[in-house]
Amino acid sequence: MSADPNSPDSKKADLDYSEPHDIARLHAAVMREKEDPKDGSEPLSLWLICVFGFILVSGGIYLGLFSGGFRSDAYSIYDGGVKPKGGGGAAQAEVKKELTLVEIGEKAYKQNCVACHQVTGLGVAGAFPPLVGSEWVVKGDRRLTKILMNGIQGPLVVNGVTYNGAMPGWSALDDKKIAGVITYIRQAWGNQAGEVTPEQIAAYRAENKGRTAPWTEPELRAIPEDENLPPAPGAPAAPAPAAPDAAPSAPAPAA
Amino acid sequence: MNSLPRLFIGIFVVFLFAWGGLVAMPYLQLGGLQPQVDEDGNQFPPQRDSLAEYGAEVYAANGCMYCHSQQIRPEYAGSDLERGWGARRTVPRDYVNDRPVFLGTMRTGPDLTNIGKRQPSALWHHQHLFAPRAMAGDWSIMPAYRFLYKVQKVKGTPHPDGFTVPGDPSVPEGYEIVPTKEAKALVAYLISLDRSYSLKEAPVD
Amino acid sequence: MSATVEIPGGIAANRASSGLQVEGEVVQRVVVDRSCRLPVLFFFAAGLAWLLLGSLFGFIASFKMHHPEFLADWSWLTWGRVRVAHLNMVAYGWASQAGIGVGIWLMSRLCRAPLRAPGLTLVAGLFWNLGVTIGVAGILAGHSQSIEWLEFPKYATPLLFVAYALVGIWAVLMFVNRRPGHVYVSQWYLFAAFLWFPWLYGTANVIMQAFPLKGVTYGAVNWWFAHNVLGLWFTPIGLAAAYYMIPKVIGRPVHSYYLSALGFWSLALFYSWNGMHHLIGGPFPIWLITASVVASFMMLIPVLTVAINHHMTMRGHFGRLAESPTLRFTVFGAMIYTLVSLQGVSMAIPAWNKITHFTHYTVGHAHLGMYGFFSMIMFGSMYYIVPRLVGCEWRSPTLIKWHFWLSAYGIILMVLALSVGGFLQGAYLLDPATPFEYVVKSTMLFLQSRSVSGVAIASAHLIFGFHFALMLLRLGRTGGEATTFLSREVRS
Repeated sequence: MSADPNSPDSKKADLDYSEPHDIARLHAAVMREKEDPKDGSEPLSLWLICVFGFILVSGGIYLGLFSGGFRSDAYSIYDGGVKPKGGGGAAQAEVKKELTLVEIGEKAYKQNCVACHQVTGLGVAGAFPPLVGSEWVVKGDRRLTKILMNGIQGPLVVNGVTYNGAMPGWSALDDKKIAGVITYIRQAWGNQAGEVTPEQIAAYRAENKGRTAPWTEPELRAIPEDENLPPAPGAPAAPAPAAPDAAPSAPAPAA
Repeated sequence: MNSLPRLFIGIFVVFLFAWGGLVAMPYLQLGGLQPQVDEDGNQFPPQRDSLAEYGAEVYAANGCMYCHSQQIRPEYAGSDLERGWGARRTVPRDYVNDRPVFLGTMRTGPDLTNIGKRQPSALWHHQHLFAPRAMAGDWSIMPAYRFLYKVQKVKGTPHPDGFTVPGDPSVPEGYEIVPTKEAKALVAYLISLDRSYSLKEAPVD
Repeated sequence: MSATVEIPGGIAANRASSGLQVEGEVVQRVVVDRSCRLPVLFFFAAGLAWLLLGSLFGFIASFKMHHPEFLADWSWLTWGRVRVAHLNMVAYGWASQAGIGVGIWLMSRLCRAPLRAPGLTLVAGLFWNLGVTIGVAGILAGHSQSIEWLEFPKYATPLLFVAYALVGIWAVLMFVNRRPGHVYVSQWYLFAAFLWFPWLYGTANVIMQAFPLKGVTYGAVNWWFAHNVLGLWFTPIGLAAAYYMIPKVIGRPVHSYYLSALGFWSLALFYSWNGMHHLIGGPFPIWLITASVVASFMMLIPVLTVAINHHMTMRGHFGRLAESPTLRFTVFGAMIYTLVSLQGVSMAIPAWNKITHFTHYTVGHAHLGMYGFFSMIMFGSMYYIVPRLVGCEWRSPTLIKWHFWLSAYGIILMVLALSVGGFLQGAYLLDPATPFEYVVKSTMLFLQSRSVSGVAIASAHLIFGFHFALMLLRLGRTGGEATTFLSREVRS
């Protein structure tokens, strides 16, 4: 056996475990080991106990405030009695009643439309058309109303670009929201066009109950691009003449 | 702590305590939840049909959950609502029909709780699964699931389910893409993802 | 065996000054080491094989995130399967087996008893590897259950449960048959870990397969399980190893028994309640989420306790880090433990969670813990244990150096990239006016950096795997001196 610790000599030779030399060689690592670890007996320091006590107390307070009474149907951190900043539920309910048509529309737009048309109204290139400066949005509102109510299927050219997607219809939303969204998008991002009222939407709905399928571009282009919905009954006479409707319906009510 | 029994009991009790709180209590509180039924007998959430259920299995098999979440956080916890990913936050009842739940913990891709509402077109989904970058844009890092589809030459009349992806140069002229059963199931599942209905505990205003 | 043995190199002087009962103590350790050799080396070798494969799959998954068309034509290599296979390979294939190997050796040494029922542990090892192999193949074939950390298909889980149960039984046997006397803190952690894991795995699987569980309770069970794999399986083993290696190598006692005990029980109590912090803002009763947020905050107690205990033990001996590979890997891991745990506490605070939830930041945190803490400590322990099992020393200090620096720089780069990138991603996601396209684009540089770090880390593993293979073949150095960072290379 070589005494030179740096030479990897023939270790693979048979080792005789009863031979002290072999044990020494084999277990040189064990030989040089220090004692197994022991525990020291430093006591816990007082400041550490104070810090930990503080942590426990703050945790307990948080648990008490934000557990919603440990109820199975309390899902919000505010269900335990802590009010959110800026007032509680009652204040929020009051705020709802005061919204203008455009504000209702903006809220509904953000809830339903931004995923595709984006908060900026610019859409997603190649996938979802922009609403900013779009002929379908800022010209007559009849085409736009049809699109909102029933959606679109198949290719559509917007500002010279063809989109081949599918837009769902939103007739499940109430009249106020549809009118709000139409008004909002016609007046946001630099678009300048007229509003549409919930009454006009209600009247459109009454006329067009039969149609559920999404519109195709040819059907939409059959409607003159400047055609607007007729004003609702009782509203002042609209300047534009009422034009024949492409969808099967009763004649439009007189202003 | 030199005593085995004391150590064992301590270890066991601590384990049981956490199991009790995080597993048993939620099960006791939520295990009996059922879909909400309205006066016309409609269930919310609605039951999926068998194709969409199979689609959930395809969703699991391909790890979709590891990029896409399926939960809408309340307003104080994130901007999910403002992004238009849902009309309201999701609550436990929304998931009563799901086994397992694909709540997800990553948003490498957008949340899919309401993807069926945002994009109800089966064709769009097939096109997007086959060629994500052609449909969403070059920035998309979603994997292409071409293996869920068969590309074949159009023989005479096109296949009723066949489609092409305009803007994807990989499929030559005269060829069509036909979805396999797995692809159709997956798309049926995706279209079933719609939690925009109101619940008593989570109304949509 | 009480014959006096002569050792070349004058080591007898060291032994005399440290006051050991020389023959009895040394001989007993030798007997323990010999009894452990086959099972421990088996777990180490199998673990390293999975580490290499797991690193490869990790790199593939990372690369696909910025080059999605890479290897995109095969169903078994789709990202959603590769990523899942990676996690299961490194968690159950590498980390668990390294932990069992280290745990077996530590438990036997500390119980001062030769390994009981080695056959049991070998059978456990065979079932384990069979289960992991079948499970990973199942995931790639498309049978993943998509339950995080429990993705193995149903047909693989019984095999794994048998393996875990055998390990648990073994731990009880060892502990019961220990030499009477003071029980050291590492033994508490190991005993607990080897029981907690089969309980966890068994309970989770029984609940998920056999109960009519539906809906969000699935999510609760899922994250109770997944977080406890980290807190009640990996963390105790890592801490047990650190509590042994640090005082052992520097030859001093651990600073305080009372801190050790407080650390152990507060870890057990609080860590086990953390699980729901993965679902903050999710569809659950708020008390459940709050309980986990509070428990996560409480983790400051065990983490600060352990940090103080280790730091005070090391104080005055930090110079040894220049020399001992075991100490360097272990102290690196122990410091990262403190860092990653503090990071974890911060991530559970709802205001911060609002930004980082659902982002790459979480992935960075997971790797900091599993690699920066757990794997580095495992490497340190393996550098200590293997020479005692194969009878020769590590051949090349250069290979050890490269392993350390590639691993250390690799994980630092990975975590920095994912943390900064993830934070930006989260901040952009929080702003509804930022389109999703921009969110994704902003992460690209950081995902690419992560792939670069993956190359460094995988290279470190290739180096270590090669070095370990040399040891298995008994091609290491002989003689009584340890191979340290300051040793000279062998000329051959």
